[in-house]
Amino acid sequence: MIKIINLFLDFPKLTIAALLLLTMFFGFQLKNLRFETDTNANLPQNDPAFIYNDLVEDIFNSKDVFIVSIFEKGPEGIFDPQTLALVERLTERIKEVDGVIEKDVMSLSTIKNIVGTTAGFRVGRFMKTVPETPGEIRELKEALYENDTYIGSILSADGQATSIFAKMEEDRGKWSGVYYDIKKLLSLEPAGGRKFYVAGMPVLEVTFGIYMQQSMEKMFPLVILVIVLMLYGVFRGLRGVLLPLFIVIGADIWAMGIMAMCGVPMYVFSTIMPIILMAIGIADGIHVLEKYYQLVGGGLVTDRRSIVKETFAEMWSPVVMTSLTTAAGFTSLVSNQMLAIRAFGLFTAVGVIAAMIFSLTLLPATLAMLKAKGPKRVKNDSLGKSRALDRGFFGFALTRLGKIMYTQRGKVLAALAVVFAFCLYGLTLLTSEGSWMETLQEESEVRTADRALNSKFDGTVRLNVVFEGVKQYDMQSPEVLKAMAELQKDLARDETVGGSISLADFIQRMNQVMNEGRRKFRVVPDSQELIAQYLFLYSMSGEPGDFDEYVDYDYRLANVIFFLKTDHSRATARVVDRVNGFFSRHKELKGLKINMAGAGFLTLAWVESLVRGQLWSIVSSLVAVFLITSLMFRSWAAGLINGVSIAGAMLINFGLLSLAGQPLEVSAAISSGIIIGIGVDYTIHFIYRYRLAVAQNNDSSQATMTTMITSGRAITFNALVVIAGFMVLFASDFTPSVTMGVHVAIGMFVCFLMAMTFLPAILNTFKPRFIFS
Amino acid sequence: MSETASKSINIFICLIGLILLCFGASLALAGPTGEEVMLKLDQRDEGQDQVSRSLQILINRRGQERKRSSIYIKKNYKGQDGFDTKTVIFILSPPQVKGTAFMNWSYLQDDKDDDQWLYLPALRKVRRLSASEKEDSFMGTDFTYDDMGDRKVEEDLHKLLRSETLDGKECYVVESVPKKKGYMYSKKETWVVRDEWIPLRVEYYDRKKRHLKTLTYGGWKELKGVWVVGRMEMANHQTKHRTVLTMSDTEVNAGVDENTFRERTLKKGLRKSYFKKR
Repeated sequence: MIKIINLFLDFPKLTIAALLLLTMFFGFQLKNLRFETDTNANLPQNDPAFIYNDLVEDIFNSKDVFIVSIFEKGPEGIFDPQTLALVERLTERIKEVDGVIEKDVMSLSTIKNIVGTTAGFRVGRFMKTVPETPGEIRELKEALYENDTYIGSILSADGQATSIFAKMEEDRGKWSGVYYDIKKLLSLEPAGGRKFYVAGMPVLEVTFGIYMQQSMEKMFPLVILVIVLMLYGVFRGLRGVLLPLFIVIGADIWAMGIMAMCGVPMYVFSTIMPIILMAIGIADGIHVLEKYYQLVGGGLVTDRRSIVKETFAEMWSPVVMTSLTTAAGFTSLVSNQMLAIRAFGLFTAVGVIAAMIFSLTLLPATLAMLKAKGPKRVKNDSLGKSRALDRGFFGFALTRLGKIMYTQRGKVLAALAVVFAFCLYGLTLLTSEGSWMETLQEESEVRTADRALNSKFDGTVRLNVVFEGVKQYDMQSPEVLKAMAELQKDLARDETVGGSISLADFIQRMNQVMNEGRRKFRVVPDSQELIAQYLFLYSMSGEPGDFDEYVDYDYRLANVIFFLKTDHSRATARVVDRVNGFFSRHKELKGLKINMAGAGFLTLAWVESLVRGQLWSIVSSLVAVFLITSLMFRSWAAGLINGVSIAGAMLINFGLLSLAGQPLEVSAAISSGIIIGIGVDYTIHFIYRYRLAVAQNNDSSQATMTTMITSGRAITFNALVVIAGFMVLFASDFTPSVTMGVHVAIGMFVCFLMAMTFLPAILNTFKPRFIFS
Repeated sequence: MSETASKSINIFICLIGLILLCFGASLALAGPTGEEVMLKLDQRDEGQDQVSRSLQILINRRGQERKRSSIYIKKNYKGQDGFDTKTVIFILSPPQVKGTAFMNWSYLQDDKDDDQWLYLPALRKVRRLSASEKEDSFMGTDFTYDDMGDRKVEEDLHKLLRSETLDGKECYVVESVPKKKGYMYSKKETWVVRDEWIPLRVEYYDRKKRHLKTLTYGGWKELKGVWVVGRMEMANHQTKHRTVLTMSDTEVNAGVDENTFRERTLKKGLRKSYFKKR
């Protein structure tokens, strides 16, 4: 390997030209890079919950809807001729929007009432024509409140808001078009004192992509600025800033160029890739340059070629090792269920390898052409030689730390053991949490609309409870319908549940109007024949598809729709527990099977499967770290020390998270792969240098000090730059990016601390044979 | 008669024949107007009464079916006592709605709404239904009351579009556009078999002029000089829902008793013998 690197050193111009050509080639590929907005890539592909959800959507035509709400504060609320005319007009226009299923647009002007007549009852629209006289308006209002089926969904209880529900065609590619078309329709309407809101899970999915791209555009220059500043702070020289910067920009171009060549599009989630790659690709450059400057400052070698040669003789091996382990950390994301995360993991790993190639080619080639020159801190040091390294703030601090790690190693390990135990306890309390809604910021349009709707209506997030009978007409059975109604009542006690609708509601309404509209008859009747005949009577004036969303054609399956106020997975989990509890109490429904679906349930399933998947990938990454480092140092003990120190860092990370009362979120779980990948760099560099130092003078005290001020210094700089780089994510409008930034920043700090404390303490205590041979 | 005389008579007859032929051909070329076709269709002899076993199959977009079998009895009054027709339907299956009976009286007078009664066995009471809207679904099918033949010819403007062969039969294709605005269909096209004046197909277009439904007739049979239909299928292209009505064991001019069309009959049902007879 070193021979190959020397080759780059011997032919620097050729090397640089080749790199430039390759980079231009990959850069040219970027024009083929596609941006994929289809949010399906954010969903697990083969998860049973998602497969079942598709089935439910197909059977009941039950889908998430775009909700357009009109708020009218006036004394009459929405009950004035202009607003009602507006509702009708908007309903008709929304029906014509491409991507909206025309017959599945629901509003005040389409919903039907069941009214008692001499013949029993008949079905008709509440609003056949837009009422104009006060009398007609009063009549409409009374009808809507008397049959309260649609209060809370279409009409708010206080009459100050009304909603239009629009179902989308399957093709998610059309969704953003629908969103903008609807927004345009609304902009054409005179608002007056009215307020319009567009809400619902599809809106969230559509705007999600827009927010993510916007925040990327904002963060990219910011991360470059931060890296430049940090590099200048550390190296105080032009080459110390420019060379690592070229490496990470080059790595970005390569990674994205290769992605384009493979025909993989840029997913919403992978837009953070260039930024993350910048923050971590910098590592190799820092370690190499730090060594180079140490040699320049040491003054033992003066010939610039010899300096570069010696730098790489020592550094190539840890650079390759750490790059491989970092890449392995990202590759572990390939086991993820989300296509977008898989692509992100894979191509970030490609970028890490690209950064490694740059570090091993561009650095030797350019450094060989440049005059050997150290940064100011070295040059101005009159004492020269290696003593310079224990000077200055870092030198002083690292020396002190090294001393403690040698003399007080027992106490350090004991203290760490206490921390571990404490964190282990915290880990047992860890819960998972996730929400699509919270991925956007509080003030974002979608969340503002969602809050407004939740204040007036039942809720924007759906949870479907599907009753599966055994044979045809099972759903006309009084026991089943009564259970449905009871379940609705039971779940309404949970604050998350705003309302619900089912076939039972309609049967109860029919029974009520058949009994002079008396309230006490709003129950499911006891006779199955009667129920079947009510439905027959309904069909005399209703339409064949009226109950499609609530019961399947054979009356074998029924769909009870619950409206939830939030899509937080913990809240949904509580409701799901309640559903399961209800059915375990009702033994008489034994033949019946229960399943769940809907956006609320999917978010829960998504969070649980992602978090579970991520925990597995943490375990597999740790095993990979153990195996790779065992192989590198040709010792199981070395693998164990590396593995334990990273595992300890993860333990502290998640333990503290849990002790702070925070749930484990999806983005936090994903950051763990990143933390492991970068964190193991520190332990490898440290152990590698420590072993070299021991080999030189076989004194563990001396070795600790040397390692601390050389490798320890590079690790400190690296940690500072990476942490600062990830802190850029705090500026994102997209909450998961912020969460990821926080987690990686904290995680890196913990890894850094572990490498600087646990590692020297344990090496000094156990004196493993692979070092002290 | 001389040979020349007979020859000239022959020529004369030929000439007359030729003239008549030309006249006839030109008549045939000009054809009837759209309105004439629709009137012929409307006034076609349907006999005095008709009794059928009817099977109603509703099919949803996923291909699932709901079946309902019934006895269908109709008597044509042709204006007698102001009545147009009286119809009763007795449901035989599925079991939950067995015994349900529906009766409809329609009147010749334009503005007079139909009278309807329904007997639901679980409620043990015959109930008078309020007049259905012309645009209402007929017993939960894809047919509306208008589609079932309630619409009057004079409510639309008719235009003969063309003649063409459909199912091997020469048909007139007539376009009907409502005179009044706001009707559920913007346009309807009907294929009417020439000479027999029976429909083969109707295409319906919704308010926005998009293709909404197709009605296909099949299994026409001539019984006692009356054409009776064997199968009607209405397919809604927008909801992908379909209704198939089949009529079997049809009899015409069976001498249906006046007393069949009474509330009492709905409740008591038809005597067993009534079915046996057919």
